[in-house]
Amino acid sequence: MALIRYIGRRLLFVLPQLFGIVAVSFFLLKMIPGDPALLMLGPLASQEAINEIRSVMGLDKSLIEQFVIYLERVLSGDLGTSWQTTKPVMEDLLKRFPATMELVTLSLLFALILGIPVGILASLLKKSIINKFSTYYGLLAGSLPDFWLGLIFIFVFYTILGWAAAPMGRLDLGILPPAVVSGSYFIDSLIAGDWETFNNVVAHLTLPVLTLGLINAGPIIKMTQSTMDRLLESDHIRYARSCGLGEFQIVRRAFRNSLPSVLTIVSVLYSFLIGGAVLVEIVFSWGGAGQYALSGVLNADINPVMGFVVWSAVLCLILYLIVDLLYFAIDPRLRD
Amino acid sequence: MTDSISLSLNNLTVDYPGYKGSGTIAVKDVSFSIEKGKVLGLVGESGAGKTSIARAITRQLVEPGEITAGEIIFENKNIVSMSQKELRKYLGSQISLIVPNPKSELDPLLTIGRQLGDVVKTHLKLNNKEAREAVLKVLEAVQIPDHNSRYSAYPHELSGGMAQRVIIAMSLICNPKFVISDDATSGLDVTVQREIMKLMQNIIKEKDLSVLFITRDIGLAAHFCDHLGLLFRGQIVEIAPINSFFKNPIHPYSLALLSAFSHSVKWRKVYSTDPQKWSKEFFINGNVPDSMIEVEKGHLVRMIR
Ligand SMILES: Nc1ncnc2c1ncn2[C@@H]1O[C@H](COP(=O)(O)OP(=O)(O)O)[C@@H](O)[C@H]1O
Ligand SMILES: [Mg+2]
Repeated sequence: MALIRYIGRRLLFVLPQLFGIVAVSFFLLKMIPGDPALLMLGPLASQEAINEIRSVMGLDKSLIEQFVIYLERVLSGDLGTSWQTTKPVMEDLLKRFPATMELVTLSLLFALILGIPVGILASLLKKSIINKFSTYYGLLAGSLPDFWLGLIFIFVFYTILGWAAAPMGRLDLGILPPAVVSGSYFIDSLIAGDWETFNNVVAHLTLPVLTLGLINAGPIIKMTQSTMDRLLESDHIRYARSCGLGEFQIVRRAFRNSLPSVLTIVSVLYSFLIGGAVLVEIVFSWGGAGQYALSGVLNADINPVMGFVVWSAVLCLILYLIVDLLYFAIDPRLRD
Repeated sequence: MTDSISLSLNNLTVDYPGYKGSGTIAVKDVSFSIEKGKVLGLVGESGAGKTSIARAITRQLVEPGEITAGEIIFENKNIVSMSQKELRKYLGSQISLIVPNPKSELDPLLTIGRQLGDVVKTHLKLNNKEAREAVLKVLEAVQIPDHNSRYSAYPHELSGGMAQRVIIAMSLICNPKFVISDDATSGLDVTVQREIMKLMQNIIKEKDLSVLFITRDIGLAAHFCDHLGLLFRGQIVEIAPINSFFKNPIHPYSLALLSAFSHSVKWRKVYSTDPQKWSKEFFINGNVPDSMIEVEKGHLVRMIR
């Protein structure tokens, strides 16, 4: 009951939040110098042709008018057209966001699978190698740029050793993508039961997932370790020990209590990576949403950029709602 | 003789080392024995070292605390030299601890039924159904009203008094022989405090428990202890059977405490400290001496003659 009321209250704020995000990014983008009409037609275009294109694109109207027109279109599900791809932005993003989400989700899963056990062990075994490892790992992962690690991996595992698939997108050229269900090739090829495609998808995912996963495991290890450190010294864990509970039960209780902190760091990483994975996407020619938005920015192609902002905002709001529901599931104190 | 003793401390010393070695000696050279079925009250002001003694017995001292000397003998075994594995078999099943601030001592994410059940399952190897029955039984024994629904309550849903009852239930669920109560009622309202004390008194009598009853309130200890020990800056300054203690308190610190806790003017006068007694028999340069003297049978006072 408290839950339903809570979700209701959250949804009430979604529209104002979205409006705010769209407004701020619209006006900020318009402040970037560069005339799309000029860029589209090239330096030799006549003034008349430029004026014509400007009025077709609505660029001759006032900023406020342009914003109102844009909002009306967004509300009807139209994110405009990209002059670079000459396709509706909505159509482009429907292809690219699944690619990004697939990459980011699998990378974070990998980071969790690596980070949580290492964090727990580093906290339990204070004087062990794994504790030292975790300290240096945090430093290293925090200081290495992810795209650089990606380039090194490509050089070692593709160029020298030849183990990895070519860093040219999500599939080999000769292989057709699986029928679209979720948009994630990983899931869709599983659904289709197409093992050849699945294997190829995994081969292409390996290096970028390894890159982003290894970098993002750093903060997850740190958070897990420091929270476990704090909890293992807490009153209720000491009390559980004085009741004679076994070490496994103690660790399980401490970990359960540290889940909210781990969840927080994962949600921060997740929302950051939706746009922040762009350099790794470029290195692996992933064709993701970040890459699409970046090329929009560089070419004064505003619709893809705005479309990306709207999509990211919606995805983040959904993400935070899910995270809040998970907090609810973990901690009974939040339920009333 | 030793077979009638439940737990004894021999020259226990607890140290909290600082960064440069020399730290706080929180408990110094403390010895006492608790006979089976008897209650020893340990009284002292805040910071005297009471909790350190309780935590030393369960080997759960807060960092950087450590036992630097002495023995803790429970049923002819030295707790200080036990392995963690052996210790775990005793804790919660034969020796249990009642703690203050019950709400921060319970796991906030698990129901109390689950927390009690975990303890009884660990020690008595019961299955889920048997554990549930044992939990409901002990919740009833500590007089938690509506215990069937409280079984699935979370700690934050309980009042302080109710949570304290849960902690008492936790300490009883495996039928221990020895119970330590560390300032169990300090965080509670006076009326709730009285109910909890009554409950503990009944249970101690009914189960014939051996108890170390730690408190700041000497009046509270007077009501149901068989022996009384007074802790002052980590050392016992006077320890005696209860009658002997109240009839013939000797150490000036005992007298000061008694007078502070006496409600009637008459008693306050009887107990009030005669400055003559703060003499060099009891203090050497402001410190208590190392020796104790037996003034009556079982009545020891830290002094020199
Ligand atoms: N975690 C700790 N670190 C350092 N010193 C401590 C710690 N806990 C207790 N002490 C020292 O031990 C003394 C006794 O503390 P404690 O056993 O909690 O007393 P009590 O329970 O009688 O109030 C305190 O005065 C303090 O100096
Ligand atoms: Mg204390």
